[in-house]
Amino acid sequence: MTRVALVFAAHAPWRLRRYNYFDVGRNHEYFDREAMSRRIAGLDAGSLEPATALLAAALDRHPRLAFGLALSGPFLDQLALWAPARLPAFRRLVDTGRVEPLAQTSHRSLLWSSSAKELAVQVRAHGERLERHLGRTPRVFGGEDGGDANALSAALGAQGFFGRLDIGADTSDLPADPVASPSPDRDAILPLRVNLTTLGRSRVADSLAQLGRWIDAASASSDVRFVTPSEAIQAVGPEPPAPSSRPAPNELQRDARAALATLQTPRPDAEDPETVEDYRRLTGSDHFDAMALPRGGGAPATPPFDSPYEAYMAFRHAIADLELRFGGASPRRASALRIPA
Amino acid sequence: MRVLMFGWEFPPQISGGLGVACEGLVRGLLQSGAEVVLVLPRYPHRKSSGRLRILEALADPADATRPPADALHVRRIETALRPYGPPANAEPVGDTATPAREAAAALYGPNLASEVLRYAGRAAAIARRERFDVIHAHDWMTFPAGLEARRVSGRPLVVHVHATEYDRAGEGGNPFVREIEREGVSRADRVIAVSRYTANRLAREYGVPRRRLRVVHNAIDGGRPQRRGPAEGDSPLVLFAGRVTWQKGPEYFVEAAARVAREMPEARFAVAGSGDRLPSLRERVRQLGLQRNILFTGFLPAAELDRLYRRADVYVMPSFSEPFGLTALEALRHGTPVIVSRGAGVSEVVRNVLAVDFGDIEDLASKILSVILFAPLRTTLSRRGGREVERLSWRRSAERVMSVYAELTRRPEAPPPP
Repeated sequence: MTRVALVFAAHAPWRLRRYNYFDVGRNHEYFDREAMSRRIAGLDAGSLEPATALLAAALDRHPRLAFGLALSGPFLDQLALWAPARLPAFRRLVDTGRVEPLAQTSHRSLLWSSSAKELAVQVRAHGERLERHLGRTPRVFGGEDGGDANALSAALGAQGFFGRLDIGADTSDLPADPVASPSPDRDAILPLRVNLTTLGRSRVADSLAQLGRWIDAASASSDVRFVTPSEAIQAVGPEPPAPSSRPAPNELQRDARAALATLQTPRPDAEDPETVEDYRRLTGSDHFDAMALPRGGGAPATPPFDSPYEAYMAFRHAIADLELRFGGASPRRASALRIPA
Repeated sequence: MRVLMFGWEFPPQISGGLGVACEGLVRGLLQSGAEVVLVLPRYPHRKSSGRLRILEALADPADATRPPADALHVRRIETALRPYGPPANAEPVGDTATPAREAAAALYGPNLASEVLRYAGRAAAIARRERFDVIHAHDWMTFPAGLEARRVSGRPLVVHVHATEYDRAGEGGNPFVREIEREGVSRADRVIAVSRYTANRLAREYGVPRRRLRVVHNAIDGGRPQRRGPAEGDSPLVLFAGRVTWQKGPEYFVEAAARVAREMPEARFAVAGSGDRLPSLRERVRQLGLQRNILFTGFLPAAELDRLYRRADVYVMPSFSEPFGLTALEALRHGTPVIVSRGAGVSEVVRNVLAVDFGDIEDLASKILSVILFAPLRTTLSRRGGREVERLSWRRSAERVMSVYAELTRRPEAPPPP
């Protein structure tokens, strides 16, 4: 018997725009909403609509099919803004009782960037979001690299979470034959993470049809049992928090973190909610990933930036503006931004 | 491999990147085992060294050589031509600029059109006398000479494009120069472009077929980046170095400087170089009230320019069109962060530079301020950019050129024995 913990994951980053020095103190829009809304619309038509339809049909056909849903906060927020019609489709999947949404931080934050208290706030906020959109409160945390494992464990424990499921990286190809896939230990769980946002993107018909055939074959086999994330954790016991898989931060990322850390964690009672929301969006790990400097001198581009340097500058300027909004900075931009060598 | 090379500038007589690139390439070719006969219009310096011999084509001003009648199918126009922008009779721009004016006058003469054709006329005699396997001509001034040498010798011709008239002047270029350029790149056996950017331009503007186009990037020698940086208490310094011509975008440098100085009054800016835009640029600086912030150094000898590179916080190259941009490599060698126009040829070989769209003054000013204000940005650009430059060498570029020669000189395979 192979126990398969299938998880469908989706994330959409808050994309910084080219926010420059002269925007600081003048323009509080840090994000490229137009590009994000275009991307969500494309994602919805190309991936989400056919994928949710396929999964709903598969759940109808196969009463033993069960899986987890790791939908990030930024993804759900953008869906609510620009493709709200898709949310009920996800909710219908959860309503079957065989689809379990997973907890995450509300903003895909790198957890070092905030206090344990902020972490707890973010995990709770995502739980509330899932309750609101999908009608279910999560019991298992997963689908996100926690960064600081100890802080994460403490926060999860304090909030009465059942456990944390390490679902690893996206599966690029599902095993051709689930029954024959290697299962060294009869009690082991085969975790499979499928990225909903790339599904159906490259080889549209191909990848979706392949997923459908795979689910049919696995469901028909008496040697395969699908388990939800909760069942997986029940079966193997809670996993110790995995160490972060992130490489050590480079100089730009360290400085960006430090800049974020110098901001006081906002007090929602004292600050304007939009400012607090912008702060949380800036804690997202995507902004730091865009500053990664690869070996060999190259510089991959994360839209809309040409290089990690552009991502760093936009981020630093946005933080400087946020500092002004929090009321902590000197009125002169140059002195607010200057860092000693 | 014996190379008959036609050039116009060669150190110590240089007015810009062409002379530097020509010297680097010759040095690399010699290291790769080539023999080079380099023909220059005039060269009152040491004329041979190892496998390099330098010939002067126009040393004698009374030389009565006639331009070839059939080397060129272009109209002859007597006009004050500008090889790379500033005419030789540019108006005086201050004491420090005088050597540059003299250098340009010595290099490009009072009437460049007739010089170019006279030079081509001498090329035939030289080509009949010398023994060589391949002809190599640098930029439009030497293309007629290259074609003439090929006509009399039957050897293959490689033309090397460091800049096109479109880069120098946009749509408003000189028709005579354009015609020579078109003729050279159309009739050469191979065309070497200093960047993919330039290769694309040659394919687009002159219809050069891709099968005859090769890209060989410029390079720089000189080992590890030297330590640099302003001393404690120094004002931030932003550097522009290059010909002060339309192509190089000096006006945008000054406008961006004004934006930066409003935010950071202690910032200083240096314009190192001379050219026809200098007087109007000085006037603009006066209008903006930036006389205390912006220093015009005039054309600087290499050692003095090196000192400026080392001292500067950031080097800016806001060109309208930059086929390559050797000065960016020079700045990086000194560990100075670089901002270049997006698409500049140099960004094909170094990626740890910041890019701005030509004419986007706000973005340029924002990036200058960012490099000054964010120490981690400055040090990362400096360290990683310096490492990239260390990997470049003229020897490697010359080896690519040697392989282009080999394409043309390879003997056809002997027929199999009966």
